Amino acid sequence: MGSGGGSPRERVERFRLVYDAAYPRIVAYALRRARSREDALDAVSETFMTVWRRLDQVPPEPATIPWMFGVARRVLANQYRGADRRQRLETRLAETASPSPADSEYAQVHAALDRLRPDDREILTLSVWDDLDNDEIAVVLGIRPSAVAVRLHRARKRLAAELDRTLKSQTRSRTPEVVYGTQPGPGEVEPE
Amino acid sequence: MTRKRFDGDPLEALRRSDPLDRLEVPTDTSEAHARALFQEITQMETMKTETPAPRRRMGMRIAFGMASAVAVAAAAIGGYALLADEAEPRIAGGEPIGSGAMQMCIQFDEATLVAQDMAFDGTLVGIDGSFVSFEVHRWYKGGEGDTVTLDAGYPVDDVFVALEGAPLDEGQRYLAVASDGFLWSCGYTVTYDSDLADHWAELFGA
Repeated sequence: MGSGGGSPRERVERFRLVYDAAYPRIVAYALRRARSREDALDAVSETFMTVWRRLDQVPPEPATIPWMFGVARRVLANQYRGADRRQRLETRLAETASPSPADSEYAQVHAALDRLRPDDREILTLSVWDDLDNDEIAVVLGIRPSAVAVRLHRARKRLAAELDRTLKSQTRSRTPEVVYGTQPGPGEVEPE
Repeated sequence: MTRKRFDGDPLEALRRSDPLDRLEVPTDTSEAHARALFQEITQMETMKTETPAPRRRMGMRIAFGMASAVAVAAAAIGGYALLADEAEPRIAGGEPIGSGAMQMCIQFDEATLVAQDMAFDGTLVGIDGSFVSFEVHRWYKGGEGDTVTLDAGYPVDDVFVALEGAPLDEGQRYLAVASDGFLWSCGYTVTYDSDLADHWAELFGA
């Protein structure tokens, strides 16, 4: 049902169904990846604008929300082409509560994540953070579900390797990372 | 130096490191941004403006809308919203403002008002969710008959008032406009005022 199909009311009602189902998940998706809350909400707006304009092309369940993730992914890609994921997240987290210095696993995981190739990082986060199954990830990325399984398997191994590497690197370091490898604060440097 | 290995499940570690756990996330669409965005998107269709808004960031447009609404609200104090005109002030609206949070409102102008499909003087006689029914006393444009039912876009409740700034109360008489079956609020549908009704009659040539 696009702008040419159905009454305006029917169109709005159809959009409402899609919107209500997808809004929290699209917001979550954008918040995890955007530089700021404002940018995230802006991406959400652009995403739903696109959905509204392309309402005719929105696939039926169960592909509806993954298709919208795909839209949001492209919106964010345009918004932050070339920008650094970690920098975005650091900025975002700085707006709220920063991770505790004691939360070493959090820092390790994000350091490892940053060293992964973007496609590994993306498929892992879609699976784990956004809780999409292989079929849904395939819709988001525009690839076959069988390819998702293979990529996920490889990405998981690479993440494990990077976590190892991060742990070793931190063990060697005399200056423990506090938050995402930023410089330690006063009194945070380990004594010789 | 001790050599360590990460010996947990990397995916579980990743799950525990979801940054969203540290961020504020709306859990449903009752949150103001969700409702405001829905209204803005769906009203873009019904507005049918000839000159689309510049591709300014939507969040900014919402913010600007809020700012302009506040300006209109300020002007509305005392009963009328007066739009400045080089020659003379013109009455534009009755008591359009219910709150200062009309996030979805566009800048009021009479060209937009006149461009709507329907305009009438009517008393609100029924509210059913988002649908509102009016007993029509006079049609200025479009429509016919003694009653009309329109979609307000959202259930008429406190949130609606917060978004639209137009309290809709049964028994209240309004000067109302609508397009494509949707009632326009945001200072376009206003509480009845006889001077304003005369102005509308002139404006619509009715």
